[in-house]
Amino acid sequence: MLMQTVEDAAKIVCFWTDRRSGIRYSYLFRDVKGHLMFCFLHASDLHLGKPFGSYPEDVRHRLRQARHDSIDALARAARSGGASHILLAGDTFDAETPTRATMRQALNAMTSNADLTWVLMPGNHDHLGAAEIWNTLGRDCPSNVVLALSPEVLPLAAGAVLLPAPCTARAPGRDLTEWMDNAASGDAIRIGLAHGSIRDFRSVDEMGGEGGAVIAPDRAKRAGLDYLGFGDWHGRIEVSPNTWYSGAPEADSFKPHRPAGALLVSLAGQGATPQVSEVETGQIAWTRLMLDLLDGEDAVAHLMQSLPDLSLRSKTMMDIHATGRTGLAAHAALSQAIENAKPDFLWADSDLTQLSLTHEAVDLSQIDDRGAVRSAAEALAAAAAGGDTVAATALNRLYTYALELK
Amino acid sequence: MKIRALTLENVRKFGGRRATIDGISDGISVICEANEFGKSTFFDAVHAVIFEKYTASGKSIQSLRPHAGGSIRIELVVEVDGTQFQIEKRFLTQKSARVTDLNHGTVIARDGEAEDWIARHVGDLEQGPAGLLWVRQGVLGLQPADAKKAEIDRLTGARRDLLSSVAGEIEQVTGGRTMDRILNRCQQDLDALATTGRHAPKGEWKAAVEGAKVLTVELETLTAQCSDLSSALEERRTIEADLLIANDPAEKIARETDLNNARQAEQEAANHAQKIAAAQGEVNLATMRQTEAVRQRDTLSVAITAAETAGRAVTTAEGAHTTASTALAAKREAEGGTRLALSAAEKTTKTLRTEQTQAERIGRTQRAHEEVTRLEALRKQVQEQINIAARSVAIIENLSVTRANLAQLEAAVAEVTRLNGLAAASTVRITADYQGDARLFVDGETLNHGQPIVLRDGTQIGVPGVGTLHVHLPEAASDGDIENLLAAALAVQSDALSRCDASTLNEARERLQTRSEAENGLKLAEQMQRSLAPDGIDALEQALATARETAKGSSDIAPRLLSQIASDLDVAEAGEVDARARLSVAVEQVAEARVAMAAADAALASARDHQDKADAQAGEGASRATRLADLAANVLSAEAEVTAKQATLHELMHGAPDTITAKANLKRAEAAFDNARQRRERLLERRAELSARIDTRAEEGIEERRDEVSGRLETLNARATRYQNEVDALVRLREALDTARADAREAYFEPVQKELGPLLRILHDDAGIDWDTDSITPGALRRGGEVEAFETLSGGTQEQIAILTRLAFARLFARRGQHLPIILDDALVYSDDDRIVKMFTALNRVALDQQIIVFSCRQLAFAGLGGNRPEISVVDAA
Repeated sequence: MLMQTVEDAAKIVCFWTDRRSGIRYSYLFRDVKGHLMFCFLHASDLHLGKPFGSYPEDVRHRLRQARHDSIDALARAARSGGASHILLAGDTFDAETPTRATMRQALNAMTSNADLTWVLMPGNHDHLGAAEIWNTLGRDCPSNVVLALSPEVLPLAAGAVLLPAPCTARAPGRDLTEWMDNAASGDAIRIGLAHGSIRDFRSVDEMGGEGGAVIAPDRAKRAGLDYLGFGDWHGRIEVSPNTWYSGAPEADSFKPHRPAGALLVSLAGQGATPQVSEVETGQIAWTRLMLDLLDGEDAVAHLMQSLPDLSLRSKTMMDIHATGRTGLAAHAALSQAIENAKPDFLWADSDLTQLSLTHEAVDLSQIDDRGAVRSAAEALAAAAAGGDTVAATALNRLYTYALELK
Repeated sequence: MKIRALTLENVRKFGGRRATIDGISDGISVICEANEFGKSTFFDAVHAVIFEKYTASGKSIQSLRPHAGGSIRIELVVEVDGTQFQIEKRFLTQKSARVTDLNHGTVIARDGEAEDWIARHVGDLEQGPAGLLWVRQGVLGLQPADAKKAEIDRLTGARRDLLSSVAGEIEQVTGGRTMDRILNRCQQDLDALATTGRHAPKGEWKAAVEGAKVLTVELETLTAQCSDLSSALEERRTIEADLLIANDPAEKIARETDLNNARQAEQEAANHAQKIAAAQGEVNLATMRQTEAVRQRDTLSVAITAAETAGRAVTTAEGAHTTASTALAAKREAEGGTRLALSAAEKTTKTLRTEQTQAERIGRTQRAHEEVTRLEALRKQVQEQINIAARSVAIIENLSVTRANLAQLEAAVAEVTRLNGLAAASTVRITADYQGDARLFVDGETLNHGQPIVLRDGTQIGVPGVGTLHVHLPEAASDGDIENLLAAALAVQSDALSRCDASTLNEARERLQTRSEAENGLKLAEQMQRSLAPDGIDALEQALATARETAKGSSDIAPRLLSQIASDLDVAEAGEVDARARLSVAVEQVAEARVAMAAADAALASARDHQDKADAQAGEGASRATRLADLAANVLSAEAEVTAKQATLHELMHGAPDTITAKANLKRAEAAFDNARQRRERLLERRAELSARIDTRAEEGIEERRDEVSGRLETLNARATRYQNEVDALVRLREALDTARADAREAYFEPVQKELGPLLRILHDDAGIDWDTDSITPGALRRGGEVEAFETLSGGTQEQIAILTRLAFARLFARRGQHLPIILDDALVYSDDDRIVKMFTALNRVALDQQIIVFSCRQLAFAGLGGNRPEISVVDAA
């Protein structure tokens, strides 16, 4: 029996490892006020090995590395928060058959953070059917890594148990948390871990007229769970005070989620309301900048005000979408400003197709005062005003040429 | 400005003279004079007055100098705004220029001021209308074909200036250099992304499209591999689930238990079946014993019965035997009697036969004597015939003539006769029948009276007192051949006679006749011989000898008549035959009796044999009943045993398990056990295969690669779409610019088109002109839906369009306030009669408010032009 003790100003955590089984256990600790606490970090959806193929090679490399680095980031967050366990609620790996390097490096990172117990549960990407993952992990996992592969009560620590609902397939087709309702665990703190949707976003028609395989959003109440941690959605969401989606520790899309991170959860005991705090762990920011412009507005200034601070840009994936209306000159200026700003970012893209063009006589005069060029500009402007986007782009181009050649 | 009169003094061919054209009116004025009159001189003079400074001395002025030299003086009366002015210029010497108001008779400008006045009313000298409105002789188009570049540029500038004054600067209207630069820029960007024409992807766009295609193929491959991997994973999961079931201990125990139970059941069924078989065997054995007992009993019973029957049969057979024996004796006795009778009959016949033989012998001897006599007579006849034959033969041998020889002789004689005939026929004979003393001489010999002589070729007949007759006969009449043939025939005849041994044919015939008679006699003799002695004389001699031998014996006993003997013999023979028949019957009867006797013997023997066998089977007679009773008891006992065994068997069969079912069940259980084992082995094998495949794919990171390629493909497709949009926009821009420029050009030429259109339609229905915007000249003629380049048009059409264009230009000049006359010097030289009339119509149309002066040497052709004919006078210069 090995025992370790971690102390900080607020908490005392004891760990011990059973030599024979190799399983690590931790004792519940008492906070400085003497309250019995169990603290853990709830995270999910690391998606290690995700390829990010739509990005250039160097960007892909940075993104993949950031995801790998999230293991250490989670470990730091757990330590900072006094957590003894890190519960990964599924989709730790992106593919059913990740490369050996991906798995090995993940395990090595977890092994390197040996003071923490990592609990890995299969999600829908790395579901139980992905035998390659779980056979390899089962064979190679260190003592501080626990694999929650069965829907049965799993002791986490003395006085705390985990009720995992590992995904059996890519689309299980049923609520895998149902078993929790009747799972007995005595007086221990009951922590549920699941992966899937509590709301099916597909229409009834898309689902063939039937309801989707969703998890009951009140499972925590039904099963008497003190906390139910979900994975699957990459944004952090509070379903209820004791039911949360942790979100992904590293962002991977421009969806308007909260900053990437995890949840530090403390439970005083069975039946107690969990204390949940959000910790940010993301290395790379994914920002979709929506510029809604008004005709006559200084689009460039609006852009500049909206862009992140220079110091952050090299770690930012930027996606600029402009909507509204603007004149030819402003459009040209905005395009140029965006092009000028792009190199600041890890990756940047823009979409000005939804930005309507307006024009005035002075705009056209800048192209030409009279003659055939002016006539052409007027014809294109008229067509653009009628919704012809090709004409609008052509007019834009004409404007650019005219200015360029003057 | 309108020209009213023109006077040349000491100009070119009018050296020392004044040539005046006066009375040039509004509308069309036609100066029709012959060649060499000086029409072009008038043209050049007007040009010099208006467009050359009086101080000029260039080629155009020098060309006006007359041969004798001197000052050139030209007067031009023009009308401006209703007032007539005279413009006078002297060139080369006494240079001067003067403008006089003819209404007031005052000089209003001299020299430089005069030039200014002219410029004000005519136009810029450099950009003057001369090239645009005045057609020099020999100029087909809007500029001389051999014009230098400077002249071309000047004229182009003049035209551009004219049109621009009405429609605006072409550069401004069409966008000019700005348009060109923007179009070039647009085209550059377009060329970088798309091909010309079809706007197919090129450059970066093509790279994006091609890259997307490559990635699409790669993605398809990776997707297929991922699908294969997923299938393998799914299959392996299924296999592992199946293996779990297959390896389930409870299931295993259940299968083994099932198998053991089945085996045990089958064994029990087999054992029970064996018991039943054993019981069945005992039943069979008991049944066999029963059957044996019954058989023995029955056998004994039958044997006893048979023995009794056999005894009775013996008795019967003995009786029959006795009867047969008695019958045989009787038949033998009867046979003996018949034999005696036969013997007697035979004796009788024998005696009679002996007697008959003797009688016959005596008869034969007598007949033999008679035969000898006959045969001797016959022999004598035969001998005679032989002698006759010998004599005939001698004759025949002596006569060698044969029919063939005779025939040859006759043929030879006939030939000789024929040839003699021919000779006689072919010879010419003459016979002299004298009347006087004169005699003929034939070959020197006298021809006697009535003496026929043969004439031959060359015979000379002397006729005394007359001369000699020379006989000339044809070849056919020559005797040479006939003589030869005749000689040959005679030779043949002689030879034939020799063979016939005759000297003449008749002799030969007689000899042949004799021979024939001898032959006939021979034949007859031989026939007689054959008839008398068919077998030959030797046979006849032999028969005779035999007859003589036979005839040697004789009998002195007088026999009874042979017939009597024969009759008696017949009777005796009949009796013998009868006795023999009776003996035969008796013998047969004896034989039958023997057969019956033998049958009775056999029957008796058989009956006794049967009796012996039956007694043997039945055993001793005294113990038969006892033994039979014992055997009956055995039968009952055996029957009881069989009944007991059958009961035991029935009992066993009643509760017997179904062995077939037990076997089937065992087979099922074994099959299920084997199937489970084999299935497990197959599952393990398949799992190993799948694991190897999955490991390989997993090691390749196939899913990551697929997702990566998918992302890259999405990016490339988005990029391709952007390029497509960019190309669309550039194409659209270019089209808009081209359209605007084309519209501008059209607007630029609209004024001149407006003036030219009605004039053009006089010549060509629904025709139009496409302008060359660089040279501001008609570039092509559109008519009948076709566009024909100007230079490809006929000379006449080019000439017509050029003139009409000048007329249109004149209208444009008028619109900007410059009313200038149109001067045509020997124009319309290539136009046909129909077109020239239409051109006259066009000229008259323009002449309604435009002065047109036409110089022409073609009086007849231009008669239809109409117009005014100014006065022309040439006088010596004072």
